[in-house]
Amino acid sequence: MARSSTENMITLMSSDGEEFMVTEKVARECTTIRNMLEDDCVITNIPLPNVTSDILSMVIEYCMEHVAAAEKAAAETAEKGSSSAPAAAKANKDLEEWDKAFMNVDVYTLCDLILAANYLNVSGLLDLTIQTAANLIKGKSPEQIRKTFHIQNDLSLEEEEKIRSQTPWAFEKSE
Amino acid sequence: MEGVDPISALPDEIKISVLSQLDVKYAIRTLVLSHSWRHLWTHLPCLRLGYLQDQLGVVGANVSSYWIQRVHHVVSSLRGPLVHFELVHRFLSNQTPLIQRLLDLLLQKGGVQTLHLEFFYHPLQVHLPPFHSLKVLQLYQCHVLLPTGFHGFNSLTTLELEQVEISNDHLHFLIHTSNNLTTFSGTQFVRNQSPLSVNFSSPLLRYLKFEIDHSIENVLVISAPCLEQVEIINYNQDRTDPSSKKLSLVALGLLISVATVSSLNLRCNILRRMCDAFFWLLRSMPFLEELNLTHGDYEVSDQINRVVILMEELLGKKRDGISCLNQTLKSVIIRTFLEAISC
Repeated sequence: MARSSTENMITLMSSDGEEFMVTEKVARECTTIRNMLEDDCVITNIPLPNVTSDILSMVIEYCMEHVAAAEKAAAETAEKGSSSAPAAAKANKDLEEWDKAFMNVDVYTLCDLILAANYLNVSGLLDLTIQTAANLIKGKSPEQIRKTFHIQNDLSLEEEEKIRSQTPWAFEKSE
Repeated sequence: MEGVDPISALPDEIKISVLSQLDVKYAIRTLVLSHSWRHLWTHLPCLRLGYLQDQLGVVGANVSSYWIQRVHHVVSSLRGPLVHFELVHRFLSNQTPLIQRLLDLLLQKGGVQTLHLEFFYHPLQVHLPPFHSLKVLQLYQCHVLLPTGFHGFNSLTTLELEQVEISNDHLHFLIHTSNNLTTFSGTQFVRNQSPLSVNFSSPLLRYLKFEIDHSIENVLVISAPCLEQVEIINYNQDRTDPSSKKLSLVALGLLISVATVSSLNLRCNILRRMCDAFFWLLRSMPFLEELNLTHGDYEVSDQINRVVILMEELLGKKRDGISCLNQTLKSVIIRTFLEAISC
């Protein structure tokens, strides 16, 4: 990683005051930060009052992995003149596997990651986390969804019955 | 933070994004989670409804009227604007009036930007309402009629028609009133009358795909200064048919005025007699970067071998003359159904 020492480093500061040094390239994965850097190119220290250190470190981990994957793909293309389709497909699959493993988190972390990805505008991470949340809802009964996300049911039994009776088919079990 | 509900606390627009990733049946289910979820699903900006996925709890051939009634129920419950509407169904042969009412309902909801209708086996007659903000129109297997007094879909950027019956006048009108068109795809038009003759003067057109078959008389690109990608399909199997030569000429005529194209994708059986024309075609595209040729012959293997040899010769010639032909060309892939030769 000799090359990275010549790159600009940016310090990101979490809401609880922890500092993270990242390359500008990694920081630019966050569109919110990229816009700040484009408005003011000498900025090197960015406070992020909405993101805690544990969540910020995960966002950085995600961005680093995706920057590294893109760099690797670009280097291979430059080396061989063109990218070979099977190698690119394998790299994509590896990254998907990495994403999948990265999403092995509890629902609290997941929701915090959604908020951070939304605030920092990391579109890949936002899509990934939203899809993960949707997968946790898909195919489940309302009771199971409430349990998964610790949702308090504040509807009375009568209210719930009435609501269900308007679209009974939405509550039928699928094959 | 244990015990606090993490997902209900997310902003509504994020929760709606989560619901948008679900089949509509599961999105609707969330209305009984708690008071705060009660009306969330009615803000869904897109609906994708297909008969296969049991999204509405109705599957099968004999229940199409139930199915379409549920679609009505869902659409009328939505508060709008409904930006994206997709309907794919196989068994709606007798449901033309219900589909028409549904389209009128969509018009009332307002804001439709993407309309995708796909009817297998039983093409339906569809009177398109004047969706003012329509950007993407994708129609498969239907007979399309335009509204009377129609001024065109002025925001339309993408028009994809497959196995569609449409009059020459209506198609012409659609293309020429859509000044923002960037993508056009027309394949397997259904013709009861004379074949279609289409021309383009589309300032923003970037992608053009056509299947040249008996349904098309002529395709002319009069002006398309932004055209980058062209895909032409012609799988005419009958060599004795004099129209097959005409079709290859149409395919070439299509490209005469197109110097900006960077990607050319040809799927055809006409390469063998097109060698000279093919080189001429390459010369007329000084910015071509990517060339894909797919030969669609299913003939006996020695025939295919001859085609492969011919293509290799073609490639060899091209290698020798590459500097004078095309300096920008980066990738050439030639396929038969059996193998691919890359360069």
